[in-house]
Amino acid sequence: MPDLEDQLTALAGAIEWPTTPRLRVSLPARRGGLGWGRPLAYAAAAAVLIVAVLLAYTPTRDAIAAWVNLHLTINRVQQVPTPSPRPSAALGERLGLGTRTTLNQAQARLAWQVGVPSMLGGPDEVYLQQPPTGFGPGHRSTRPGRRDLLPEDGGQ
Amino acid sequence: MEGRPADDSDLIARAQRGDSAAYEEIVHRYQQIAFRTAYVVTGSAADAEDAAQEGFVKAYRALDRFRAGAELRPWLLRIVANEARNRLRSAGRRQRLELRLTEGFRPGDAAPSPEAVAVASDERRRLLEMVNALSQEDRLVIASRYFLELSGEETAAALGIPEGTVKSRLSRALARLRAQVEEAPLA
Repeated sequence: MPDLEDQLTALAGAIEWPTTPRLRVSLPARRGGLGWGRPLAYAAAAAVLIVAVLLAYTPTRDAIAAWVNLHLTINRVQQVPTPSPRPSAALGERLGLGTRTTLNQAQARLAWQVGVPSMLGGPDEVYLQQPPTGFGPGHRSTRPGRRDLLPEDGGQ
Repeated sequence: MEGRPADDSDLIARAQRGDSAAYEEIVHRYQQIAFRTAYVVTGSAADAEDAAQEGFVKAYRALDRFRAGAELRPWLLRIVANEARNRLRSAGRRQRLELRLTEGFRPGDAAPSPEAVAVASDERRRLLEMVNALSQEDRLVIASRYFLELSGEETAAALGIPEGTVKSRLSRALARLRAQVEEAPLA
């Protein structure tokens, strides 16, 4: 009697297999293939690199700007100008509110009583402007948190 | 070179460069063994066709990862068999491979070896019945190794197990089959 393995091997030719279909494999585009995709990507990258190098060099950048009719002037300066200093006078003086003073000093020079709402506390700044000679008793401006105060009589 | 079939490495190199005709030649060359391997795994001709088709597409996408100088057939069969197992798993079915004999087969028709001639028709039928009566695991390894005539490496690829496991599993399967044969001798 033949060996079992030989019998199995001999049986191989007798096995009924289903008919092998003709496989229709629709091939997808391969990313790794050397189609047009990869060379185009390399060409685009090279073009971007060349443009970047040309733009980084001032004479070529100017030449390109002139060539494409871009009237662009780029001035390089070694030091940027320092900003001009702010005016030294207090804001209220610059706004023409009068002379900066204190509430007590202003009160001493006024004939009427300055009213300050107690709930707001004392003003941050007080300005006093005396009217020209022959006019009324003058007015004052205060800046209690950026609000003007009225005289105690409501400005009547 | 003209008229001589290109070897696998040449076809692979051309396919890797995007030559779809070269890959179609690979498909044509291996479609039968791929389909039969998938059939052994799934036990269904329809599933085997789908698995082989999808396996070839996946292999095409993975061509860049194919190691130069490696054997193409085990690599392809691994992909196709994986696809077949995935299909079986996702369908939630258990494979049931039922092998049958070709009607009117004569040993001399296919492989005129002395062993083939020695195996009479009735003995073949009984031997195949015994193979079919084995467990799924035993039947798969015997079918892959003897009926598909896959190498140890290819059987490992088809079954998704290490080559060492193929040897031990095959040895145990043959021992069980031998026990059956001894219980009811073929001749």
